[in-house]
Amino acid sequence: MKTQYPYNPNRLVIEESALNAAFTQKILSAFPDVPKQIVGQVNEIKKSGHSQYKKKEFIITDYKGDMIKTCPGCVGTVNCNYLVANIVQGCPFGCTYCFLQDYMNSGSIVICGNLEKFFEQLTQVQRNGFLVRLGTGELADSLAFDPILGLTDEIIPHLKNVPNVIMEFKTKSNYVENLLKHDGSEQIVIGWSVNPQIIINHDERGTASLDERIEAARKAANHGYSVAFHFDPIIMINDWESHYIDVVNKIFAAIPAYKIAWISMGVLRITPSLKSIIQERYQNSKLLAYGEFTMSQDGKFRYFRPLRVKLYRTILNAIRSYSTKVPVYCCMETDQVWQEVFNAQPSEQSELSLIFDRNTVYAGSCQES
Amino acid sequence: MNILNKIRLTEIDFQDKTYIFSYPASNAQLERTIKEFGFISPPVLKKKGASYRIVSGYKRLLIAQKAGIKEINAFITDIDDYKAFKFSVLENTAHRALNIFEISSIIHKLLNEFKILKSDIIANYLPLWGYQAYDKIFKQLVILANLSLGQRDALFNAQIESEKSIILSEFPEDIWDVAITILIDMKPGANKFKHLSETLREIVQREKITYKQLFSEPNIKDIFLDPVRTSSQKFELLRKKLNERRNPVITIVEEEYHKKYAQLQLDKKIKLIHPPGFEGKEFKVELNFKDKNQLHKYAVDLLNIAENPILDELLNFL
Ligand code: SF4
Repeated sequence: MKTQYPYNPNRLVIEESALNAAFTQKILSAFPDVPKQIVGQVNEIKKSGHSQYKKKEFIITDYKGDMIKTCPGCVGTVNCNYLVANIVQGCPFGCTYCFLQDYMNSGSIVICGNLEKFFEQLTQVQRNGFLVRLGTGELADSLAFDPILGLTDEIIPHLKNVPNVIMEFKTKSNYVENLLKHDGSEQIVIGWSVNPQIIINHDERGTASLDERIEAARKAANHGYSVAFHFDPIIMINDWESHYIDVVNKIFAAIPAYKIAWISMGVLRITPSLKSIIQERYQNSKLLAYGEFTMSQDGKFRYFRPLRVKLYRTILNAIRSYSTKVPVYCCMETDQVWQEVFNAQPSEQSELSLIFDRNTVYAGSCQES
Repeated sequence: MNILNKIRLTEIDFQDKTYIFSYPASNAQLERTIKEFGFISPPVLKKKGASYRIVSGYKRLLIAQKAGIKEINAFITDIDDYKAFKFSVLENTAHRALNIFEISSIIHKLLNEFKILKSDIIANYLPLWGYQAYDKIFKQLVILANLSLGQRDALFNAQIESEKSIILSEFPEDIWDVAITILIDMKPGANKFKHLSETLREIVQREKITYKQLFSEPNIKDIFLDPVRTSSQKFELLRKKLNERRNPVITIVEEEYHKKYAQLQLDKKIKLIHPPGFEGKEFKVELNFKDKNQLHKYAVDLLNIAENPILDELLNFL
């Protein structure tokens, strides 16, 4: 796998105090020939811009803060208590709209070597009688580095000790080989961000094709995992209705509805600074030419509200033509939009018919990946 | 180099522009000064076979040539080509503010003739002219080097500011003449011109047409030919038409909203302001008044508005 895999590191930088951690050692032994540099503290590494070159530099840290956090949510959108674990920050893929371009100081891939701390905190997030949703794909693609880091190999065995945690790995890859080595479990949700192939071709560089993603989802579902799909970011390309309905058709042709834990929908959202980055880096991308944008209360450009509602309703109806039961929710949306799409306030909708039919702490995801 | 040499003008190769980036080549002020005081700062030349290349002082030498001067004092240097060019750049930068056309021409030469790395130009040259060391600015300046002499002359003679000229780099070159016409005839501010460039790009990308096709559509072309409107009215009309085309749904909703709003017949001193993009739950009221009587009147107006069924229709826009 390592030889065909395109995202091997060409330099490893290790924070001294992370050096002896088991996960660090695992990574180091996987790349004996890659140049290494040991630094006292990670912030000694010169910060530089996001670049393709830097994406090949892995920085292994001894992360000091909380490794599991509540997703911060956004002003004016429905608040959600989805938890996020940022074990890896950075992504080898090159989505035009990726907010990491604006968010991360360095283009390098940052990996927390001290995974033990994550496992410790994992046991603390369980709340009495509630299921907790925890995602790893906020600042990274959860599976993009799995063929070389084997993070799922580390995490999955630990999840047995925390039965109330539903763990979501969210990806645009088809790297499921590691997952298939373990027993499938409904406690583990593999979520695929999906888009029409034409968008993948133009604006999701390096990611798996739609068919590959759905095929990987089929394998994961057959193996006993729950799967999820995220229509995110929805982009209002010409003839978007038929393109997105096709995606729904493909999903339900391959995956039985009862295997789908949830489906989320979220339109493209762009901060003004990300807009400038996109304009500069991707001059041929039509991403900003589609739809009609207005500034939302959280300071991000989104499509004009009636257009968003139309997009969501179209996709929702297509989903509902296959299943009335699959939980569907809007991501980073206002309660006005929820009301117009679902004829229900978010609290009613998210109370949740979602996942949930069980006592999940919350529904709604703030993930961007 | 610090010894002055007497050089005949016929020995100088005026056609060799290796180190020359001055624009425009003529300068009336300099001409007057030279006529009155002569050559106070001598040019710098470099030997090239039997003749001399101009390193610095091109404009002064042109003036001398025009004035029929036969011989001048000049410094002769034998430094290598890149150093000679760098010297010329630094010397000129120290003495005067270079215009954007000169800067783009320097960058073009550094990159293509002297093979200097882009990263070096960004780090070491852009700050010389007060620019931040950004890749984006570098790219914009490189593109501007492709302006034809006629286009430069048009922009220069109309005294179009650099911050506006640089936005031309965001238009495809085959539409520069139109964009320059907009800049010169319609006199937009830099921000509005930039916004126009974005709107145009988004329209042509989405509709899969060319800029030329868009500008040849009668309703757009007619704006340029309009003999009655002022320059700013023309620009506003162009902007409006393009915005409507770029954002048709928003335009319709806003028009409906404004129609309803007009039916409220509000005094101009009272404004009901909807949240941006009609996203949000609250309207804002803005009220300007001079004295108690006016405040009282507007308070009564507001109470009346609260009873007006049209207000419900406006509130429904949220
Ligand atoms: S959007 Fe997600 S998959 Fe795409 S580059 Fe960013 S983190 Fe990676």
